[in-house]
Amino acid sequence: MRSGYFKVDYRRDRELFPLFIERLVLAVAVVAAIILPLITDRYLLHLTNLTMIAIVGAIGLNLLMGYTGQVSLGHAAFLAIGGYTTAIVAGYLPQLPFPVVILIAGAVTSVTGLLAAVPAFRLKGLYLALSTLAFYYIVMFIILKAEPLTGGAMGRHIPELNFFGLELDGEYAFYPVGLAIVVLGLVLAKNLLRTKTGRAWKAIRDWDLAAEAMGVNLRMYKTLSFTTGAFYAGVAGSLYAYYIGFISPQDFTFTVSVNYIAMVIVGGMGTLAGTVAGAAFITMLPNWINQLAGYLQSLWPAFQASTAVPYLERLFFGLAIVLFLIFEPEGLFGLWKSLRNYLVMWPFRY
Amino acid sequence: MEKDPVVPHYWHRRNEVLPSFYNYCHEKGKVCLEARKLTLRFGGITALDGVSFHVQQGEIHAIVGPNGAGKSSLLNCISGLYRPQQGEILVRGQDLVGLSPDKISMLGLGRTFQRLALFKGMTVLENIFVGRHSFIRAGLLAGAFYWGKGVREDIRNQAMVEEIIEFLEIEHLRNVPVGELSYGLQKRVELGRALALEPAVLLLDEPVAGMNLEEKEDMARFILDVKEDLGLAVVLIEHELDMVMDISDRVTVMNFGRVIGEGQPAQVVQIPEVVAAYVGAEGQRPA
Ligand SMILES: Nc1ncnc2c1ncn2[C@@H]1O[C@H](COP(=O)(O)OP(=O)(O)OP(=O)(O)O)[C@@H](O)[C@H]1O
Ligand SMILES: [Mg+2]
Repeated sequence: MRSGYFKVDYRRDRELFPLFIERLVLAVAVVAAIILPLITDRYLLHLTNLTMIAIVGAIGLNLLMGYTGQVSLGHAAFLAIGGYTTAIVAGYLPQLPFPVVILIAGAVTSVTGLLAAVPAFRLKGLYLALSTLAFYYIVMFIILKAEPLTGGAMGRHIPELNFFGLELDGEYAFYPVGLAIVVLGLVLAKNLLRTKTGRAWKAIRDWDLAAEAMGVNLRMYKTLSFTTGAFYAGVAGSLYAYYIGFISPQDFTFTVSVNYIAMVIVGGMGTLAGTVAGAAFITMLPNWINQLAGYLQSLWPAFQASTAVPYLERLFFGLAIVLFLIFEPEGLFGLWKSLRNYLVMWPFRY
Repeated sequence: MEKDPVVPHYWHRRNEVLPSFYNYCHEKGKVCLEARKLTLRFGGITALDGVSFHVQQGEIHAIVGPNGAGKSSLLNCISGLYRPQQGEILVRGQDLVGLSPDKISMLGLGRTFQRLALFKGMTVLENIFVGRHSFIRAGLLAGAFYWGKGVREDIRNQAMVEEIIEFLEIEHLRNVPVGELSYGLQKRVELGRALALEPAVLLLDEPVAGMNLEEKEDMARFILDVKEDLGLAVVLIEHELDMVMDISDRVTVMNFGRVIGEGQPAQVVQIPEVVAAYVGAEGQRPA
């Protein structure tokens, strides 16, 4: 048991960041977020933007999987619904301010989350995962077939971010938008988790029958988890569509679902800070692998970097998931927690 | 949720802190829970065979019996986890059979489980806080934006949780994940979680099983305090008669899914069938 610090007033632990060390990290993050676009090149900023989109989507999956214990293989379907809703709404009403479009995308996606939640009334674990997989394929099938709306396999263009006539284009313009939504998404999720809804979700995750005996309506709170998770994914899909400017079913393959699961596992199931780290890690990984492959090729010319990269990518993704599951089930956040506790206690060991 | 006919009208008033406990618990001796001719079958097994019993307000009512007697099944029927094929369970005149466990908990029935059923990933405070679920009306959006009335409501309910933590003497453990606690303390947290429901009837399934003597004594003291200070009715399932003899007011003895004896502790152990059941099942004489 730890004895390094005590909170006298219980209201203090209602604070979001009760520890000094946490506030310090937060302050560093704020400063970094502000100066980042000033010091990085466009490519790194592009990766950062993709990371921010991934963070929003991964928060959604973590709420569902890490906090409510409902495994979902269908996250890419929610992203797709958000993306296509954006393409359609912004396509027909280009003068609509983008925050409105993003909200519509989130709302539409969360309604489809209602459908995905229904199997969870009866199924758990692997069977539930399979039902979300079925959901994914049904959604993608509909998107492919609804050609007049979605462009089918050809995909669809999305107009620039429109803010009352002001058009936001390119990496630098997107950065503040993405950042604002990430911060908002994190704060709202954190608040949810420290109030009634979040407690009910965690209770369902840990022991559903006991949760029910404590007055938690399982159907209602599982449904809320699906709709909230879908909302986040819808917003992420919307941001993605706006940012890339063009979407097709290729952007929402099953691999995308797996990547999001990897983000949640690598970052740490049931931690928001971990989600940020996991999303960054998984988004940056292909870039690192590219560099590694290039380096290997320079050492050993017979090595075909371009053909090897896709395989290396899969290998490293798999490795990252397996290694974290085995050695640090709490993910990157678990690593941070050990470090934080060490620093809080320092120089005492206990 | 307001319009739900299942929730008693005074339920929203239960939102205040501890004193509201007394509002409907003061009529000592009144029957507050009654089971009539419950029959529950699992395939070929008859777990409950026409079981009837009732609990009075302000008493500790023990249910004892050998392994597989149907004690837990009875409790699970009452709290809605199992659905009996026949019979009814009445709380203030209303039949509970067929209601979902979350509705039943709102009627004032709090329970603990035979095997530990705490929320492993949560702290002591959070675990007990889950028991306040039905008392908090602010929903998802109020929570997400964390503003105004919803926050005050949450803090008010936390005050209640803190009171329970104090009552159970686990203040120093409030932020510890429950998985790190000893078995005895985990059982105590489970009791706290059930108390957070502000129940009129507390259903405890073997609360002292597997504990050492000191832990057993602590738990017995808390159960007595719950009865005396809060005026609750306690249904206490126990395997062994010893502790039951000390703290319970009335005992129902079960064997093979049937009630084979009922009465005050001292009388019950005189009943020949009870003696036979205990000697037969365990080779030991009841204390
Ligand atoms: N979910 C279930 N499915 C099938 N059979 C069950 C189930 N629950 C209980 N039973 C059976 O019902 C009978 C009564 O079991 P119950 O758990 O109620 O006994 P108990 O009196 O609580 O025993 P113990 O002292 O061991 O806890 C047993 O024969 C048991 O096998
Ligand atoms: Mg039992």
